Amino acid sequence: MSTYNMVKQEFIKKWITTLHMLDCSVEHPLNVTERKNAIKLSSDIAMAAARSGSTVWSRALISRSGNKTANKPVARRILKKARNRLKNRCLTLRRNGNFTAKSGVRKRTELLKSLVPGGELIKNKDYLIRETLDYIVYLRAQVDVMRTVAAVDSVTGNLTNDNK
Amino acid sequence: MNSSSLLTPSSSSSPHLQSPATFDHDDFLHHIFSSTPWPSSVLDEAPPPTPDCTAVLGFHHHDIDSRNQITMIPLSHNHPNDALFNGFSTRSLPFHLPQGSGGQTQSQSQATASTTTGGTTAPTQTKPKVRARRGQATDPHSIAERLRRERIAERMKSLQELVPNGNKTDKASMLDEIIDYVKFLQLQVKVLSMSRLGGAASVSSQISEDAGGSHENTSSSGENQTAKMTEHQVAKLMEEDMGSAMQYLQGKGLCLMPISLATTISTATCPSRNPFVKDTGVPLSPNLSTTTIANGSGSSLVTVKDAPTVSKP
Repeated sequence: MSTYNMVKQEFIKKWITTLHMLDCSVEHPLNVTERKNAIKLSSDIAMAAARSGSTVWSRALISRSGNKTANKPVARRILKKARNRLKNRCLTLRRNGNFTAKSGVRKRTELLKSLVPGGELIKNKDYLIRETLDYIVYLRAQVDVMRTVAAVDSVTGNLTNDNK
Repeated sequence: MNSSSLLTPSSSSSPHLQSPATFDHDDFLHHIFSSTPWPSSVLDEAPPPTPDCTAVLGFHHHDIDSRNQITMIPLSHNHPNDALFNGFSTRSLPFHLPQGSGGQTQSQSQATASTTTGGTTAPTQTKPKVRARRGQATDPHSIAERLRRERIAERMKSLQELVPNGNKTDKASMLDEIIDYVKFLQLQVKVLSMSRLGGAASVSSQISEDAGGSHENTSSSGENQTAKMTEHQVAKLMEEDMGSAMQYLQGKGLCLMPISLATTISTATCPSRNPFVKDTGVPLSPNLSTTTIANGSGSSLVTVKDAPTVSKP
Protein backbone atom coordinates (compact mmCIF):
# COMPACT_ATOMS: atom_id res chain seq x y z
CA MET A 1 0.00 0.00 0.00
CA SER A 2 2.34 2.67 1.12
CA THR A 3 5.16 1.65 -1.05
CA TYR A 4 6.77 5.00 -0.76
CA ASN A 5 6.90 4.49 2.95
CA MET A 6 8.57 1.20 2.39
CA VAL A 7 11.18 2.85 0.27
CA LYS A 8 11.88 5.30 3.01
CA GLN A 9 12.08 2.60 5.61
CA GLU A 10 14.47 0.64 3.55
CA PHE A 11 16.59 3.69 3.06
CA ILE A 12 16.67 4.60 6.67
CA LYS A 13 17.64 1.12 7.75
CA LYS A 14 20.55 1.08 5.39
CA TRP A 15 21.51 4.55 6.32
CA ILE A 16 21.63 3.81 9.99
CA THR A 17 23.90 0.92 9.27
CA THR A 18 26.26 2.96 7.20
CA LEU A 19 26.28 5.77 9.67
CA HIS A 20 27.18 3.40 12.42
CA MET A 21 30.02 2.03 10.43
CA LEU A 22 31.16 5.50 9.75
CA ASP A 23 30.92 6.51 13.32
CA CYS A 24 32.96 3.65 14.67
CA SER A 25 35.81 3.98 12.34
CA VAL A 26 36.45 7.67 12.19
CA GLU A 27 38.21 9.76 14.73
CA HIS A 28 35.85 12.21 16.10
CA PRO A 29 37.12 15.69 15.77
CA LEU A 30 35.77 15.78 12.29
CA ASN A 31 36.01 18.93 10.40
CA VAL A 32 32.67 19.99 9.08
CA THR A 33 33.44 19.35 5.48
CA GLU A 34 34.57 15.89 6.32
CA ARG A 35 31.47 15.30 8.24
CA LYS A 36 29.34 16.53 5.45
CA ASN A 37 31.13 14.31 3.03
CA ALA A 38 30.80 11.38 5.33
CA ILE A 39 27.13 11.87 5.83
CA LYS A 40 26.52 12.37 2.17
CA LEU A 41 28.55 9.35 1.32
CA SER A 42 26.75 7.17 3.75
CA SER A 43 23.39 8.34 2.63
CA ASP A 44 24.23 7.95 -1.03
CA ILE A 45 25.42 4.46 -0.48
CA ALA A 46 22.38 3.70 1.58
CA MET A 47 20.17 5.01 -1.14
CA ALA A 48 21.89 2.93 -3.74
CA ALA A 49 21.89 -0.11 -1.52
CA ALA A 50 18.23 0.29 -0.85
CA ARG A 51 17.69 -0.12 -4.52
CA SER A 52 19.91 -3.18 -4.36
CA GLY A 53 21.71 -3.07 -7.56
CA SER A 54 18.99 -3.68 -10.01
CA THR A 55 19.25 -0.29 -11.53
CA VAL A 56 22.12 1.22 -13.35
CA TRP A 57 22.18 4.30 -11.26
CA SER A 58 22.54 2.48 -8.00
CA ARG A 59 25.49 0.51 -9.16
CA ALA A 60 27.04 3.52 -10.76
CA LEU A 61 26.56 5.53 -7.61
CA ILE A 62 28.35 2.98 -5.55
CA SER A 63 31.26 2.68 -7.88
CA ARG A 64 31.47 6.43 -8.19
CA SER A 65 31.56 6.80 -4.44
CA GLY A 66 34.27 4.24 -4.37
CA ASN A 67 36.38 6.10 -6.85
CA LYS A 68 35.96 9.38 -5.13
CA THR A 69 36.90 8.33 -1.68
CA ALA A 70 39.35 5.66 -2.42
CA ASN A 71 41.71 6.69 0.27
CA LYS A 72 39.39 6.72 3.14
CA PRO A 73 39.27 3.44 4.92
CA VAL A 74 35.83 4.18 6.13
CA ALA A 75 34.41 4.52 2.72
CA ARG A 76 36.12 1.37 1.72
CA ARG A 77 34.50 -0.61 4.44
CA ILE A 78 31.09 0.65 3.65
CA LEU A 79 31.57 0.11 0.01
CA LYS A 80 32.84 -3.33 0.53
CA LYS A 81 29.71 -4.21 2.28
CA ALA A 82 27.57 -2.62 -0.35
CA ARG A 83 29.53 -4.22 -3.10
CA ASN A 84 29.10 -7.60 -1.62
CA ARG A 85 25.44 -7.06 -1.59
CA LEU A 86 25.45 -6.09 -5.16
CA LYS A 87 27.38 -9.22 -5.98
CA ASN A 88 30.09 -7.37 -7.74
CA ARG A 89 27.99 -5.95 -10.42
CA CYS A 90 29.40 -2.51 -10.17
CA LEU A 91 30.12 -0.53 -13.20
CA THR A 92 33.13 1.56 -13.65
CA LEU A 93 32.29 4.96 -14.82
CA ARG A 94 34.26 6.33 -17.61
CA ARG A 95 33.50 9.87 -18.34
CA ASN A 96 32.95 10.46 -21.97
CA GLY A 97 34.06 13.74 -23.33
CA ASN A 98 31.31 16.24 -23.53
CA PHE A 99 30.38 16.89 -27.05
CA THR A 100 27.96 19.58 -27.94
CA ALA A 101 24.66 18.19 -28.98
CA LYS A 102 22.83 19.59 -31.90
CA SER A 103 19.23 19.91 -31.06
CA GLY A 104 17.61 21.02 -27.88
CA VAL A 105 16.29 17.68 -26.87
CA ARG A 106 19.55 15.98 -27.52
CA LYS A 107 21.45 18.53 -25.54
CA ARG A 108 19.14 18.08 -22.65
CA THR A 109 19.38 14.36 -22.71
CA GLU A 110 23.09 14.72 -22.53
CA LEU A 111 22.70 16.95 -19.53
CA LEU A 112 20.38 14.50 -17.91
CA LYS A 113 22.82 11.77 -18.54
CA SER A 114 25.46 13.69 -16.71
CA LEU A 115 23.19 14.18 -13.76
CA VAL A 116 21.91 10.71 -13.24
CA PRO A 117 24.69 8.49 -12.01
CA GLY A 118 25.53 5.99 -14.65
CA GLY A 119 23.52 7.85 -17.16
CA GLU A 120 26.29 8.18 -19.64
CA LEU A 121 26.48 4.49 -20.00
CA ILE A 122 22.93 4.19 -21.10
CA LYS A 123 22.59 4.25 -24.79
CA ASN A 124 18.92 3.78 -25.09
CA LYS A 125 16.90 6.85 -24.33
CA ASP A 126 14.10 4.67 -23.16
CA TYR A 127 16.18 3.20 -20.42
CA LEU A 128 17.54 6.54 -19.50
CA ILE A 129 14.12 7.85 -18.74
CA ARG A 130 13.28 4.80 -16.78
CA GLU A 131 16.41 5.15 -14.73
CA THR A 132 15.71 8.81 -14.16
CA LEU A 133 12.28 8.01 -12.90
CA ASP A 134 13.61 5.56 -10.42
CA TYR A 135 16.40 7.81 -9.36
CA ILE A 136 14.07 10.69 -8.73
CA VAL A 137 11.91 8.60 -6.48
CA TYR A 138 14.82 7.46 -4.44
CA LEU A 139 16.34 10.87 -4.25
CA ARG A 140 13.11 12.23 -3.01
CA ALA A 141 12.91 9.48 -0.41
CA GLN A 142 16.39 10.32 0.72
CA VAL A 143 15.58 13.96 1.01
CA ASP A 144 12.41 13.32 2.93
CA VAL A 145 14.07 11.04 5.40
CA MET A 146 16.97 13.33 5.98
CA ARG A 147 14.71 16.27 6.38
CA THR A 148 12.58 14.44 8.87
CA VAL A 149 15.54 13.33 10.89
CA ALA A 150 17.01 16.77 10.86
CA ALA A 151 13.74 18.26 11.93
CA VAL A 152 13.47 15.88 14.83
CA ASP A 153 17.01 16.68 15.58
CA SER A 154 16.50 20.36 15.73
CA VAL A 155 13.64 19.97 18.08
CA THR A 156 15.24 17.65 20.51
CA GLY A 157 18.84 18.11 20.10
CA ASN A 158 20.61 21.30 20.52
CA LEU A 159 21.78 19.23 23.38
CA THR A 160 23.71 17.05 21.08
CA ASN A 161 25.58 20.07 19.93
CA ASP A 162 26.53 20.87 23.44
CA ASN A 163 27.60 17.39 24.20
CA LYS A 164 29.87 17.26 21.25
CA MET B 1 10.69 25.70 21.89
CA ASN B 2 13.67 27.09 20.25
CA SER B 3 12.09 28.16 17.12
CA SER B 4 13.41 27.79 13.82
CA SER B 5 15.80 25.54 12.28
CA LEU B 6 16.61 25.09 8.74
CA LEU B 7 13.73 22.90 8.32
CA THR B 8 10.91 24.08 10.39
CA PRO B 9 9.45 27.33 9.37
CA SER B 10 8.58 29.44 12.25
CA SER B 11 4.95 29.07 11.59
CA SER B 12 4.67 25.38 12.09
CA SER B 13 4.83 24.39 15.65
CA SER B 14 5.46 20.75 15.36
CA PRO B 15 7.85 19.21 12.98
CA HIS B 16 6.52 16.89 10.44
CA LEU B 17 7.73 13.72 11.84
CA GLN B 18 6.28 11.80 9.08
CA SER B 19 6.39 13.28 5.73
CA PRO B 20 2.85 14.14 4.98
CA ALA B 21 3.51 13.78 1.34
CA THR B 22 3.23 10.07 1.59
CA PHE B 23 -0.19 10.23 2.95
CA ASP B 24 -1.42 11.83 -0.15
CA HIS B 25 0.37 9.54 -2.43
CA ASP B 26 -0.92 6.35 -1.05
CA ASP B 27 -4.11 6.45 -2.94
CA PHE B 28 -2.36 7.18 -6.09
CA LEU B 29 0.22 4.54 -5.60
CA HIS B 30 -2.32 2.02 -4.62
CA HIS B 31 -4.19 2.79 -7.70
CA ILE B 32 -1.21 2.26 -9.82
CA PHE B 33 -0.12 -0.92 -8.25
CA SER B 34 -3.49 -2.46 -8.09
CA SER B 35 -3.33 -2.80 -11.79
CA THR B 36 -1.11 -5.64 -12.71
CA PRO B 37 1.99 -4.90 -14.63
CA TRP B 38 1.86 -4.97 -18.33
CA PRO B 39 4.42 -6.71 -20.37
CA SER B 40 6.53 -4.07 -21.86
CA SER B 41 5.61 -4.77 -25.40
CA VAL B 42 1.99 -4.34 -24.92
CA LEU B 43 0.30 -1.62 -26.72
CA ASP B 44 -3.23 -1.78 -27.66
CA GLU B 45 -5.01 0.32 -30.06
CA ALA B 46 -7.71 1.52 -27.82
CA PRO B 47 -6.85 4.73 -26.15
CA PRO B 48 -6.28 4.24 -22.50
CA PRO B 49 -9.24 5.03 -20.35
CA THR B 50 -9.28 8.47 -18.98
CA PRO B 51 -7.08 8.51 -16.01
CA ASP B 52 -8.65 8.63 -12.69
CA CYS B 53 -7.26 11.84 -11.53
CA THR B 54 -9.10 12.21 -8.33
CA ALA B 55 -6.33 10.74 -6.33
CA VAL B 56 -3.81 12.86 -8.05
CA LEU B 57 -5.74 16.01 -7.67
CA GLY B 58 -6.58 15.35 -4.15
CA PHE B 59 -3.33 16.58 -2.81
CA HIS B 60 -3.56 19.28 -0.37
CA HIS B 61 -1.50 21.59 1.56
CA HIS B 62 0.57 19.45 3.76
CA ASP B 63 2.98 19.07 1.05
CA ILE B 64 3.15 22.73 0.49
CA ASP B 65 4.34 23.19 3.99
CA SER B 66 6.97 20.62 3.64
CA ARG B 67 7.99 22.13 0.41
CA ASN B 68 8.36 25.51 1.92
CA GLN B 69 10.77 24.02 4.25
CA ILE B 70 13.05 23.46 1.40
CA THR B 71 15.58 26.09 1.78
CA MET B 72 18.07 25.40 -0.88
CA ILE B 73 17.02 26.58 -4.18
CA PRO B 74 19.35 25.61 -6.89
CA LEU B 75 20.36 27.73 -9.73
CA SER B 76 18.86 26.94 -12.95
CA HIS B 77 20.13 27.81 -16.27
CA ASN B 78 18.54 30.24 -18.57
CA HIS B 79 14.96 29.76 -17.98
CA PRO B 80 13.25 31.65 -15.25
CA ASN B 81 13.30 30.37 -11.78
CA ASP B 82 9.70 31.06 -11.29
CA ALA B 83 8.81 27.80 -12.78
CA LEU B 84 10.91 26.15 -10.19
CA PHE B 85 9.33 28.00 -7.36
CA ASN B 86 5.87 27.67 -8.63
CA GLY B 87 6.24 24.06 -9.21
CA PHE B 88 7.73 23.36 -5.92
CA SER B 89 5.51 25.44 -3.86
CA THR B 90 2.18 24.81 -5.29
CA ARG B 91 2.14 21.33 -6.48
CA SER B 92 2.38 18.16 -4.65
CA LEU B 93 4.31 15.37 -6.03
CA PRO B 94 2.71 12.18 -6.82
CA PHE B 95 5.15 9.43 -6.46
CA HIS B 96 4.89 6.20 -7.98
CA LEU B 97 7.41 3.68 -7.22
CA PRO B 98 9.32 1.48 -9.45
CA GLN B 99 8.93 -1.36 -7.07
CA GLY B 100 5.84 -3.29 -7.52
CA SER B 101 4.20 -5.18 -4.79
CA GLY B 102 6.75 -7.89 -4.85
CA GLY B 103 9.60 -5.59 -5.34
CA GLN B 104 11.36 -8.11 -7.40
CA THR B 105 10.27 -7.30 -10.87
CA GLN B 106 11.95 -4.03 -10.67
CA SER B 107 12.62 -2.89 -14.12
CA GLN B 108 9.68 -4.65 -15.52
CA SER B 109 7.21 -3.29 -13.11
CA GLN B 110 8.85 0.03 -13.39
CA ALA B 111 8.31 0.12 -17.06
CA THR B 112 4.86 -1.15 -16.72
CA ALA B 113 3.91 0.88 -13.74
CA SER B 114 4.91 3.90 -15.63
CA THR B 115 2.57 2.98 -18.35
CA THR B 116 -0.34 2.86 -16.04
CA THR B 117 -0.23 6.46 -15.26
CA GLY B 118 -3.88 6.82 -15.23
CA GLY B 119 -4.38 3.80 -13.16
CA THR B 120 -6.01 1.87 -15.87
CA THR B 121 -7.84 -0.97 -14.46
CA ALA B 122 -7.91 -3.33 -17.32
CA PRO B 123 -4.41 -4.25 -18.21
CA THR B 124 -3.93 -7.18 -20.40
CA GLN B 125 -2.19 -10.01 -18.79
CA THR B 126 -1.32 -11.82 -21.92
CA LYS B 127 0.94 -10.46 -24.52
CA PRO B 128 -1.18 -9.36 -27.40
CA LYS B 129 0.16 -9.15 -30.86
CA VAL B 130 0.79 -5.70 -32.01
CA ARG B 131 -1.23 -4.95 -35.01
CA ALA B 132 -0.38 -2.18 -37.30
CA ARG B 133 -2.71 0.67 -37.42
CA ARG B 134 -4.43 1.49 -40.57
CA GLY B 135 -2.24 3.36 -42.91
CA GLN B 136 0.99 2.50 -41.22
CA ALA B 137 3.61 0.19 -42.39
CA THR B 138 3.72 -3.33 -41.16
CA ASP B 139 7.40 -3.38 -41.63
CA PRO B 140 8.95 -4.81 -38.45
CA HIS B 141 11.46 -2.08 -38.23
CA SER B 142 8.94 0.64 -38.21
CA ILE B 143 6.83 -1.26 -35.79
CA ALA B 144 9.72 -1.55 -33.43
CA GLU B 145 10.45 2.07 -33.93
CA ARG B 146 6.90 2.99 -33.20
CA LEU B 147 6.84 0.85 -30.12
CA ARG B 148 9.94 2.47 -28.88
CA ARG B 149 8.61 5.92 -29.41
CA GLU B 150 5.40 5.13 -27.70
CA ARG B 151 7.16 3.64 -24.79
CA ILE B 152 9.24 6.71 -24.42
CA ALA B 153 6.18 8.86 -24.59
CA GLU B 154 4.50 6.94 -21.85
CA ARG B 155 7.48 7.15 -19.62
CA MET B 156 7.68 10.83 -20.21
CA LYS B 157 4.10 11.07 -19.21
CA SER B 158 4.72 9.37 -15.94
CA LEU B 159 7.74 11.50 -15.39
CA GLN B 160 5.51 14.44 -15.91
CA GLU B 161 3.52 13.45 -12.96
CA LEU B 162 6.54 12.87 -10.86
CA VAL B 163 8.26 16.10 -11.50
CA PRO B 164 6.48 19.19 -10.34
CA ASN B 165 5.35 21.60 -12.94
CA GLY B 166 5.53 18.92 -15.46
CA ASN B 167 2.60 19.96 -17.48
CA LYS B 168 4.70 20.91 -20.41
CA THR B 169 3.88 19.29 -23.63
CA ASP B 170 7.14 20.07 -25.24
CA LYS B 171 9.69 17.37 -24.77
CA ALA B 172 12.55 19.76 -24.44
CA SER B 173 10.97 21.77 -21.67
CA MET B 174 9.87 18.61 -19.96
CA LEU B 175 13.44 17.46 -19.98
CA ASP B 176 14.39 20.82 -18.59
CA GLU B 177 12.08 20.36 -15.69
CA ILE B 178 13.40 16.91 -15.03
CA ILE B 179 16.93 18.13 -15.05
CA ASP B 180 16.15 20.96 -12.74
CA TYR B 181 14.38 18.73 -10.38
CA VAL B 182 17.18 16.23 -10.20
CA LYS B 183 19.65 19.02 -9.58
CA PHE B 184 17.41 20.42 -6.96
CA LEU B 185 17.10 17.15 -5.11
CA GLN B 186 20.78 16.52 -5.23
CA LEU B 187 21.44 19.93 -3.84
CA GLN B 188 18.99 19.33 -1.09
CA VAL B 189 20.76 16.18 -0.13
CA LYS B 190 23.97 18.09 0.07
CA VAL B 191 22.53 20.74 2.25
CA LEU B 192 20.74 18.33 4.46
CA SER B 193 23.79 16.24 4.99
CA MET B 194 25.45 19.38 6.11
CA SER B 195 22.88 20.79 8.34
CA ARG B 196 22.47 17.73 10.45
CA LEU B 197 23.41 18.59 13.96
CA GLY B 198 25.07 21.40 12.26
CA GLY B 199 26.25 24.77 13.20
CA ALA B 200 26.76 27.79 11.11
CA ALA B 201 30.31 26.71 10.52
CA SER B 202 29.26 23.73 8.54
CA VAL B 203 27.14 25.81 6.32
CA SER B 204 29.80 28.32 5.70
CA SER B 205 32.24 25.79 4.42
CA GLN B 206 29.59 24.43 2.19
CA ILE B 207 28.93 27.84 0.85
CA SER B 208 32.50 28.40 -0.01
CA GLU B 209 32.65 25.02 -1.64
CA ASP B 210 29.60 25.51 -3.61
CA ALA B 211 30.08 29.05 -4.55
CA GLY B 212 32.10 27.90 -7.48
CA GLY B 213 29.56 25.44 -8.64
CA SER B 214 26.59 27.59 -8.03
CA HIS B 215 27.76 30.29 -10.24
CA GLU B 216 28.38 28.26 -13.29
CA ASN B 217 25.14 29.24 -14.69
CA THR B 218 25.15 32.92 -14.37
CA SER B 219 25.57 34.69 -17.55
CA SER B 220 28.07 37.35 -16.87
CA SER B 221 31.35 36.38 -15.47
CA GLY B 222 31.87 39.72 -13.86
CA GLU B 223 29.04 39.06 -11.55
CA ASN B 224 30.40 35.69 -10.90
CA GLN B 225 33.42 37.15 -9.34
CA THR B 226 31.68 39.57 -7.10
CA ALA B 227 29.09 37.09 -6.06
CA LYS B 228 31.69 34.50 -5.29
CA MET B 229 33.69 36.85 -3.24
CA THR B 230 30.69 37.93 -1.34
CA GLU B 231 29.81 34.37 -0.70
CA HIS B 232 33.21 33.64 0.65
CA GLN B 233 33.14 36.64 2.79
CA VAL B 234 29.79 35.81 4.20
CA ALA B 235 30.88 32.29 4.83
CA LYS B 236 33.86 33.44 6.74
CA LEU B 237 31.85 35.81 8.78
CA MET B 238 29.19 33.34 9.50
CA GLU B 239 31.70 31.11 11.04
CA GLU B 240 32.55 33.63 13.61
CA ASP B 241 29.39 35.38 14.32
CA MET B 242 26.05 35.56 12.73
CA GLY B 243 25.69 39.16 13.65
CA SER B 244 28.74 40.28 11.79
CA ALA B 245 27.68 38.30 8.79
CA MET B 246 24.38 40.05 8.89
CA GLN B 247 26.01 43.40 9.10
CA TYR B 248 28.25 42.62 6.25
CA LEU B 249 25.34 41.71 4.13
CA GLN B 250 23.45 44.73 5.13
CA GLY B 251 26.39 46.85 4.28
CA LYS B 252 26.22 45.45 0.83
CA GLY B 253 22.58 46.11 0.78
CA LEU B 254 21.53 42.55 1.08
CA CYS B 255 19.36 40.92 3.57
CA LEU B 256 18.67 37.63 5.10
CA MET B 257 15.37 36.04 4.98
CA PRO B 258 13.86 32.63 5.05
CA ILE B 259 13.66 31.02 1.72
CA SER B 260 9.97 30.50 1.88
CA LEU B 261 9.46 34.16 2.38
CA ALA B 262 11.78 34.94 -0.43
CA THR B 263 10.02 32.73 -2.86
CA THR B 264 6.68 34.05 -1.88
CA ILE B 265 7.77 37.56 -2.34
CA SER B 266 9.47 36.91 -5.59
CA THR B 267 6.58 35.14 -7.14
CA ALA B 268 4.14 37.65 -5.83
CA THR B 269 5.77 40.86 -6.72
CA CYS B 270 7.99 40.22 -9.62
CA PRO B 271 7.06 39.54 -13.16
CA SER B 272 8.59 36.84 -15.20
CA ARG B 273 12.24 37.52 -15.13
CA ASN B 274 13.77 39.25 -12.24
CA PRO B 275 17.04 39.70 -10.73
CA PHE B 276 16.83 37.85 -7.56
CA VAL B 277 17.83 38.91 -4.22
CA LYS B 278 20.74 37.14 -2.86
CA ASP B 279 19.18 35.44 0.02
CA THR B 280 20.38 33.52 2.86
CA GLY B 281 17.77 31.54 4.59
CA VAL B 282 18.01 32.23 8.22
CA PRO B 283 15.53 30.74 10.50
CA LEU B 284 17.53 32.02 13.34
CA SER B 285 19.01 28.92 14.62
CA PRO B 286 22.13 26.87 14.41
CA ASN B 287 21.00 25.22 11.27
CA LEU B 288 21.39 27.39 8.30
CA SER B 289 21.42 27.05 4.69
CA THR B 290 22.32 29.36 1.99
CA THR B 291 21.07 29.78 -1.41
CA THR B 292 22.22 31.92 -4.14
CA ILE B 293 19.84 32.58 -6.85
CA ALA B 294 21.12 34.13 -9.93
CA ASN B 295 19.03 34.75 -12.89
CA GLY B 296 20.34 34.14 -16.30
CA SER B 297 19.57 37.61 -17.39
CA GLY B 298 21.66 39.57 -15.13
CA SER B 299 22.32 41.31 -11.94
CA SER B 300 22.43 38.77 -9.30
CA LEU B 301 22.95 40.86 -6.26
CA VAL B 302 20.08 43.14 -6.06
CA THR B 303 18.55 43.97 -2.82
CA VAL B 304 15.11 45.11 -2.47
CA LYS B 305 14.31 45.19 1.11
CA ASP B 306 15.54 46.10 4.50
CA ALA B 307 16.48 43.39 6.81
CA PRO B 308 13.33 41.95 8.15
CA THR B 309 12.94 39.99 11.26
CA VAL B 310 16.38 38.73 11.76
CA SER B 311 17.48 38.54 15.29
CA LYS B 312 20.47 36.89 16.65
CA PRO B 313 20.11 33.33 17.79
